[in-house]
Amino acid sequence: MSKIAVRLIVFATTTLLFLANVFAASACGSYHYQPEVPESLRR
Amino acid sequence: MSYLAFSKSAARFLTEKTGLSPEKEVVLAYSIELLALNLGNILFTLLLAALLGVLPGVLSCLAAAFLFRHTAGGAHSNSPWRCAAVTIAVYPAMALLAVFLSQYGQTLTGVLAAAALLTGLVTLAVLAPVDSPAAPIISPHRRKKLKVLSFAVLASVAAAIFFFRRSDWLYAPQIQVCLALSVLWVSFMLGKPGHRLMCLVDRIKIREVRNL
Repeated sequence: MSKIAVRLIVFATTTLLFLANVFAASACGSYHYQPEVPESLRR
Repeated sequence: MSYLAFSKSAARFLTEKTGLSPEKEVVLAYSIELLALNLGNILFTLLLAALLGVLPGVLSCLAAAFLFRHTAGGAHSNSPWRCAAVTIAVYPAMALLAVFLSQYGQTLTGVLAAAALLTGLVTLAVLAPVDSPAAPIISPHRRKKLKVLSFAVLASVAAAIFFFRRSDWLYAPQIQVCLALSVLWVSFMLGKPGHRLMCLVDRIKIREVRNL
């Protein structure tokens, strides 16, 4: 796998982990559906 | 944790490539699922809005509802597909109703906006934030913070209505009504009637299509 692809994957993963924290901090993640929040993000 | 197949497989791929722990795989699946569902819901709702010619109204409804749902919460469906169906149907319908109501002049728009803001204020004061078993709000501090934020969103919506009332833009009356209807919808979804409606939506039987 090329260096650019690896960097893109790492960037996407970091962004998604950040977004997971943002979603978990809100009262409701989506418009009318709420998937189960992982235990590690519950607060 | 039950997530959709594409969320799980994408999370597994990212976890394998980055060498993260299995705990992080669940977090990634949660994030991918929410991101995909939100983008899908918004995209298809805007597509229908464009076809119906109510794009500015639906955009204002989606923005107001998004902010209210994230701070005040509300009733949920058990299925992401039913949630998508409700979102895609409700917001364009709300915008069409707004187009109809905005024809009756500033007096009706003003009365509707005042009634919606008052209803929103009372509902938020009594009920917000409304959590769900899938995403419980454990910390009292977080609960208090979300309540304050939901009031801030209501104040922003009130300011937006006031701004559009003074605006000469063609779509300004329609957007005022859309914002008022969004506040009423969110207030409805915070209470028991909204929860009953989502239970009803969850009970609708859909015949399964099987591949032969």
